[in-house]
Amino acid sequence: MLRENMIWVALFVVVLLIAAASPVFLSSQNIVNILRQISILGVVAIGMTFPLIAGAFDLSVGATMGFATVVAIQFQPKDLPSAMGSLVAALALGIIVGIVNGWLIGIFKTNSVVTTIGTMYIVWGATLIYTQSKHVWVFDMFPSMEALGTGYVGPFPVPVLILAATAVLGHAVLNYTRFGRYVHATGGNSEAARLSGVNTARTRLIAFIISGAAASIAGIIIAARVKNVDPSFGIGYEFEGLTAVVLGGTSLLGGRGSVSGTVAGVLLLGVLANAMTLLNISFNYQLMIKGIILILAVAGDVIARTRRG
Amino acid sequence: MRHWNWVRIILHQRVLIVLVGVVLLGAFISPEFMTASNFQNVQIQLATDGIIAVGMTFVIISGGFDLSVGSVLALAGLTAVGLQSSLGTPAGLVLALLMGVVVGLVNGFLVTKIGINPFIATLGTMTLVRGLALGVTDTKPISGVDENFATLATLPVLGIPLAGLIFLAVLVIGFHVLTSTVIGRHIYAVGGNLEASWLSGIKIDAYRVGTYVLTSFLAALSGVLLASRINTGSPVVGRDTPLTVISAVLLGGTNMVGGSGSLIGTLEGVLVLGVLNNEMDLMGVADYYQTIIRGALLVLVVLFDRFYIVRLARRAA
Repeated sequence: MLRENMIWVALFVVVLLIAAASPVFLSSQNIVNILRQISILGVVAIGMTFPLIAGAFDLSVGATMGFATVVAIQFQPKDLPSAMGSLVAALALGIIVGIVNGWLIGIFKTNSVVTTIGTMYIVWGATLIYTQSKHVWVFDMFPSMEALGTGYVGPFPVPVLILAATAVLGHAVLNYTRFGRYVHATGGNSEAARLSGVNTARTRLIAFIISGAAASIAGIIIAARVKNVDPSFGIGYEFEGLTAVVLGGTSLLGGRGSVSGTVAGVLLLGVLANAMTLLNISFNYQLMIKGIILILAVAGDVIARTRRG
Repeated sequence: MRHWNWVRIILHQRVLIVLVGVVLLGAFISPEFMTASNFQNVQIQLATDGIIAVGMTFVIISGGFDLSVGSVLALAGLTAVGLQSSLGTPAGLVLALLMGVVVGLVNGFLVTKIGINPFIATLGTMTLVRGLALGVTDTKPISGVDENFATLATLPVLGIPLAGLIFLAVLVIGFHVLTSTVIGRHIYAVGGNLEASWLSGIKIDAYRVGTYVLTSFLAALSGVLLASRINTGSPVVGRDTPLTVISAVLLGGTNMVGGSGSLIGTLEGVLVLGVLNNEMDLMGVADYYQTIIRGALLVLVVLFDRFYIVRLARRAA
């Protein structure tokens, strides 16, 4: 019980420590700020959780997110029809990448690490071709679409609400549906799952579609928020997402993990990044500290598990 | 049956066949391709990734994985160049290589003693070392001040640039160790079945730590050579390195699961990727198509291997 909620305990302790060190930290404005900053990583990481629990890595999410951002901007969404087109195209893109990944890994059972590194390159190359390696931007974005990135509902930024909706939906799907049980079973023991009638190939396929679509949604939020982006944006984001998912206790071997853990992992990373910024630590050293945190968190988890077992 | 043998030969030597095709294509398409200067150019470019690929082959055969090589490559170059003015070039070189060994020890410790998944452990050290490289330099490159260092990588020894010669030496020694020594057999055993290896008295942790130290050391060596070639230590180089190197190793038929693979295959993989890149550069193919082709090649190879294995299994059954 405690171990499953370890990440929340860690989060609580870190928040207390930072609050003691910096009075600005717990101001409502700063909290909203943190939540907005983590919303993009959160959506991507929740998506990645699905294939990972089903026993497969998706390293193509960063490139997919980048492509979706570029497409959403390049469609020049200035009025309702072009905004709809932009959203549909960006979303379709993530779903297509998900289908290709899922088809290769689920149906043909190729190694997921190598396959998604391959599709990552393909998607990245496609992004570069599409943009001719040039910066893309849009002026006068359709206001309703812009609201997806910059709007507020009451005190809450829209991206935070999208993250909350994704988290609730993801949690429900993973815990209260037959598909969610299939995902766990496929990752836990693929052969046993198959023998008991689970279509493991289709389960993995759908898990990859979820992760591709989530990456697209994150890309759309970014497009709506910044409205201009470099074509190599998003590369490397898969590692950030993986860090969050692993911090949240999802097993790399599959079969074990949760959306709530992933959300906690994302929160922890966001809180630490925010605290380091408040303490004036440069971005570069933040990167270094992030690496240390990842190692310590996973080491702690492994040690705790071996002591018990 | 004769017919089948041919098919099998083609299947077995598929990377070599692709390589021959790629080279022939280059010879036909670009007049510069077969020139001596281009040959030397390719050699130096290949050496950077190739040296690391030898180490990566060891790690993957022993059942591990190392994502930190690109960061180590960058930090080693920075160390070698950055310490020239204060400690002198030789001390800088030694410390750069030593840094590689230390990162390898940390990787090995995390994977064997703590039991962290190699993917995550080396992802952690990758981030950590990259942050360190970016942090100490404030994201700015450092220029070399020693002329001797600047010519080190291209220094002709027996008519071959030093970087190429080192790659060859590393490859030959690695090949000998893997194929003809007890150490090599144990590395295959450890990757094939860890539990069984331990039960038969092999010092499994020593071998696993050893492969990480070797890879990290070679990554540092490669970083030093790269820094020498461009006479600059840059904190941003090598972001692509782990993926390129791992692609080459897997292209060469080494299995991700561990226990099988060969350096001949890795050499073929490195050559295919390197020659293909060179050709596309010569032909003026834009970077972005190169990225796509690299990805497609990787997907095709895993897919092909999958069908090949399935077919072999069916034939055996």
